[in-house]
Amino acid sequence: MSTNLSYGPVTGQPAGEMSRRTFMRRMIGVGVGLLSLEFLGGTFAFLYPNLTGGLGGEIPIGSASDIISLFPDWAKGQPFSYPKGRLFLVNIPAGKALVDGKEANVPDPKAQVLALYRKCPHLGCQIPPLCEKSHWFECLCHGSKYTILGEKRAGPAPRGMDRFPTTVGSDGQYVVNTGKKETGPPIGTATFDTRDTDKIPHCTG
Amino acid sequence: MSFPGPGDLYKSVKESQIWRSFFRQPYPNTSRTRALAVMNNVFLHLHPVRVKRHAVRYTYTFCLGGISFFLFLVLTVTGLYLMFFYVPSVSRAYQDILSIENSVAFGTLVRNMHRWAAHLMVLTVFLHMIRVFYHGAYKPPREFNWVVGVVLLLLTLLLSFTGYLLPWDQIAFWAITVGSQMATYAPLIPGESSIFILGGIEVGQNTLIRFYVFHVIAFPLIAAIFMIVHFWRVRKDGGISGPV
Repeated sequence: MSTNLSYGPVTGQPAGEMSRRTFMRRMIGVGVGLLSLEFLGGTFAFLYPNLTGGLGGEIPIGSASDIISLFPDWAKGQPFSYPKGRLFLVNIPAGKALVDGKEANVPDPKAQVLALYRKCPHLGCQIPPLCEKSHWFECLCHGSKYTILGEKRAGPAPRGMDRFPTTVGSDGQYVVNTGKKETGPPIGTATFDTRDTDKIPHCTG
Repeated sequence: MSFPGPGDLYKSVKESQIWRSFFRQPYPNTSRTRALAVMNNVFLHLHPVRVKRHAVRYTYTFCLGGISFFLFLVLTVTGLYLMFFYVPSVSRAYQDILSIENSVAFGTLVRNMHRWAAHLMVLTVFLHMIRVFYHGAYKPPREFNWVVGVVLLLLTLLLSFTGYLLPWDQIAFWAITVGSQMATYAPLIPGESSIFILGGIEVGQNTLIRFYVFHVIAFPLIAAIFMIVHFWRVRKDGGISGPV
């Protein structure tokens, strides 16, 4: 402690205490830090895409009658292509009849539908509409072949076609959740349609 | 009465307020006035006033950092030129690239300069890093600048990656598809990081505009800020690093 009387006693900061100035400075630092974090978080939130209504979100496709008015063959088993969601909506009972070679007419399959992602699980090509000869999905790129349920039968793909969960609303509207892609069934899954790939005609080699 | 001659004209120009506001010192012909001339000029002060003898030996640094910066400037200027003719839209982007190549005066030249400078910049930045590493020039007090340099390397690669998508041809589309699928191996947020990069589930319009904005303004701006710090630190840490 100094004894210079003209200035009064000079005291240092007591140990373990923080001066007002240090406190204020740290609070400013904390505030600027928090604001920067908020700004960074806001930037990420701003840039994160809003997927509602498009691929990656929940897509309302319409009711069974809406689909049939656009694409009457859906009742006869032909998969309905919905490009906005990159998917086929398969009418399962009608599709089974089509594969079995029977005349089908299922105008409202209720919940018995299946949404198949059109991206081939092999290397990502877009899978063309159902082959008329085999009634399979046959990828043009490398010849992977799938049944109407997307179960793999031939070609280089490592699994069946990926799926999207589909719900039916109280108004009969199909809603496909393209944000929750389900990995396709493993090779060997055979719900129906166990025809031998060598014994039926194909659209691709 | 005598008419003013050329000497008087020379004198009146040299003594005018305008001339003297440009050139504040007389012609520098001593080492002190030369140093002052360098320090007092905004363009010249970017250069050190004094340079060590070893620093001008070309084979020590091979000027790799300088070449990288030069290529960055080339890319900025040629990129600005290309921006006049390129629209980042899936329906126009590829057509715009073709029209730059075929119908814009010097378009092929400008585009190729941009492309080659981009490839070369990745190369020179990489060689620069190797040079610094093998000379041990990352050691204290330069360890902070090494980290700044690593950030600049990452920014160079990100600029290269984002620019790759812009021609919107098959190789661009599939390269970004593969690149964004790598992001799905990220820990904790695998799906989100891919969706964030692509602006959706797959490479599309959202991806193109996203990459364009990052390529033409966000990354160059961040890189410029880091370069300022990088060059400033080189000077403060004792100039171009010499033999240890």
